[in-house]
Amino acid sequence: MKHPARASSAAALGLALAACSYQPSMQHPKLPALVPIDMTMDCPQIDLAIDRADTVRWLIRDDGAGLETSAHRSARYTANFLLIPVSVLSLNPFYLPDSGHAVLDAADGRIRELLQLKRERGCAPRATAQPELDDLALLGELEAVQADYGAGRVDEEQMLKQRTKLMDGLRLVPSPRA
Amino acid sequence: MRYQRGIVCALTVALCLASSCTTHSYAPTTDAATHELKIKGGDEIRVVTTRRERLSFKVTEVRADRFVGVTVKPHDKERRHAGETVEVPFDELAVLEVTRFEAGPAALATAVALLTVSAFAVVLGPAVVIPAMPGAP
Repeated sequence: MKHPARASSAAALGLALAACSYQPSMQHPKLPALVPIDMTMDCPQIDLAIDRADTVRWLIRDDGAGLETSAHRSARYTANFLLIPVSVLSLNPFYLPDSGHAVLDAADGRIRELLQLKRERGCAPRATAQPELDDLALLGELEAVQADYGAGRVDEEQMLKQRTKLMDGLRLVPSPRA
Repeated sequence: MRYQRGIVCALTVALCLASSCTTHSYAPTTDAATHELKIKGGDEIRVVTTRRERLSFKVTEVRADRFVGVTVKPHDKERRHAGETVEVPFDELAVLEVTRFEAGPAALATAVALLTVSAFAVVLGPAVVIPAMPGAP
């Protein structure tokens, strides 16, 4: 009985720390999935859309966001189920927010869809910040990681870590304007 | 009495106006979508460009393909000092945040505040709702 209690305490502490490390410096927009009109984009437009979505994703990551596993999410919901009524009754409303998972996951999803569209169109690949890996090869890596998770070869936490690492190195960023 | 009512009204209106300034963040995907935001000269906006630069500036001109403006006091993680002239092409715009006064919520908030004050005045009498100020005639 001792170990589950310790695990729960550790999970709660981890959640609280994750929530604290996520401090949005401005409102983070939740990027939409691709809609039919997006399918009409040509190659330069797709690359521009990737740059934009990647910038939104960078902003979210720069403000401390990270992806959370479904186990973490369940623990957070449970903690909030207990925390919210107690904190309201003590006149100090409080809840554990997510660590930016929702907006980050939406950005990841849009970027992946844009890369898939780029591959379908046969557009020229672009270099990434990952050595010897262009953006279409990076998409292949992302899909492989997802397939490994689907086949049970890696757990969810490992899959999310690998996905985040790949996505973080998607783009070579030009220097700011003088 | 006239001045007291004026003060209460001014405070009520100020409260309502303050509560109706809302901040929205957008991620426009096309130049047309940026134009649809109806940003105009005088608006103060925060943007993040695809060069990963964060900027806060007051818009002085909206051209067909870009915003021109002057930077204001920088927020966290912004590198430019206040007073620099900047141009942000729409195709480099990834995130745009603008704080605006919205007339609809303001009118609603004003109506609710006035109705509440009126209801209290009817039930309790104006002297309770609008207490006499010291030294008032």
